[in-house]
Amino acid sequence: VELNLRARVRAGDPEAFGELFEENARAVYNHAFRLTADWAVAEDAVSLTFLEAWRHREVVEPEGGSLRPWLLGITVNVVRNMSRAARRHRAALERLPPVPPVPDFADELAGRMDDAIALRRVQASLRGLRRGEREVVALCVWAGLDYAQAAAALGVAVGTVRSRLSRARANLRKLVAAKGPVDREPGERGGQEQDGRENATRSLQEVPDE
Amino acid sequence: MNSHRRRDGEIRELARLLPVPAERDLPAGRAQTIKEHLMTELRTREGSVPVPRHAGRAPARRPRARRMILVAATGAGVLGLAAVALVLTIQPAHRTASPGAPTAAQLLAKIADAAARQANPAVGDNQYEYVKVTVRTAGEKEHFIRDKQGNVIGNYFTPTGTYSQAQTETWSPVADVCRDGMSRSATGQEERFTAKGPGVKCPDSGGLNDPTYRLLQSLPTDPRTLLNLINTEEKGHGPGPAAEAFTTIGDLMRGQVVPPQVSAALFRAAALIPGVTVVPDAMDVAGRPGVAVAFDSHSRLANGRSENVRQEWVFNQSTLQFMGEGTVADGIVTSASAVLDRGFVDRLGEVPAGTRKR
Repeated sequence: VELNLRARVRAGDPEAFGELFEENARAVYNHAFRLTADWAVAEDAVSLTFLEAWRHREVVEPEGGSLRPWLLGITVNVVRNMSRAARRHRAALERLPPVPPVPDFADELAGRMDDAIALRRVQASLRGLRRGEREVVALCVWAGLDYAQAAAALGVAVGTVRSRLSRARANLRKLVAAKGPVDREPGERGGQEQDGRENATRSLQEVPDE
Repeated sequence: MNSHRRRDGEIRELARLLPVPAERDLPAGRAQTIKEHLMTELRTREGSVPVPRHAGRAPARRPRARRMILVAATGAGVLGLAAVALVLTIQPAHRTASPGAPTAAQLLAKIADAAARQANPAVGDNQYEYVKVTVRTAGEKEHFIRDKQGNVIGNYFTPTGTYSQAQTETWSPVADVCRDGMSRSATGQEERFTAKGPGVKCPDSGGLNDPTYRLLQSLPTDPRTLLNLINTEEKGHGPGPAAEAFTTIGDLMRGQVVPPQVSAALFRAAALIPGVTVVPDAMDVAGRPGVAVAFDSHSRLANGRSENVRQEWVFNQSTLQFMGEGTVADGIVTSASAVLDRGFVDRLGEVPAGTRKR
């Protein structure tokens, strides 16, 4: 019978962090991508999340469920303060072997671009939300956490998660009403040109200064 | 269970509103590299209390060619388009107030006095507050970076200078967020919404992020107390307490009807936020000229770049009534809204009699 993972993480057992990484790196990577729309930045966020998790390991309670909500909460903070986290772990990051110089295959790259494009479109909508709402959406809608887990990850009350989600939904409806569905196909690969709105903008420009 | 089904419904709707790309693995080999690196790092710190590495001696930056291109290109794109922003209604103001112009605190004091003089309607628990706004959001154009062979190696976005703008009407329950509210889009499409969900004890008057009129009425009217309450509620969010307080107050103003005394207290609270400035010649997205107060903050983007974010609230020049708000990031308006009408009605879908302005 092995000592429970939480206890080992809390005790600072590197092997436990290895297991934690194996089980959660993918979830952290995708979560970071959804918060940033940038796969390369998401890669850095993976490293930073686990380095920060190590730094804060003593906050892990010995009893409890999956540590994933805790990690995703750290990812939110890492992304929020990317430069600060990067500064803190600069030496460690410097030692991380660099991404091998390009020859990514064109197909793979294209797929990455497509994902990023789709997400940027979503993010145009997300920008209309407040950060607290965005973070809750990323945790509850995309990472599949329940309200209690998201609350624990963000260090807020369950009621706060609930109200932010509810508010996010109301705001998104307004944005969708204003902008049309976010998942509509872009006209070109050139992305989302808004149609027929030049006039609205121009007429405003012509309003004389009083 | 009912509450679960409601929660699932809410999550499903959000998922539908915000579809995302499928999950993917870390690039081949990369996961292993990162893991090995992590294990090495941890072993060298094993058992010791983790101490931040000394950052004074900066080792040479490791090359991340692809990233550098992206960041540089994004920066250039934004700079190149800065001129576009100047034609927009909410301008990034390096405008300096003329001598003798009021300070932000003085202006906000007048705005608060004007707000306090507004009629205080009797509102029934079963009524709805009606808000009609026009919302404008920025269009974006995507740019690709190619290598010599023509392969796409990066992308970035710049504002197109085009905007979509549409009106939305919202009916929100006055006393209980568990009751149905409704929104109606510019095309006439109607949707019901409710805050019912797990852990919600009904009735519920909402919170600072989804307040009912009754909740707003219960807020303290002492500006300092109110600001402290906002700071406590929003602790840890936003670039800092000042920026987050300004955002919170702006959200309350644009989204609903605010009782006169609370409205006055919110503006007096805003006057206590350090860094609020006056923009003498502003215009809301409905094209109405006015005077604005603004708050500038910096937020760090994921790519490490710093973004200047300016939030403005626009007020009618003579009546000092709140007209609209907007956000400008790096000189580009990212979103803005203007209140066209608000008031109270008895039923979903009704509009206030006599069309109160603002």
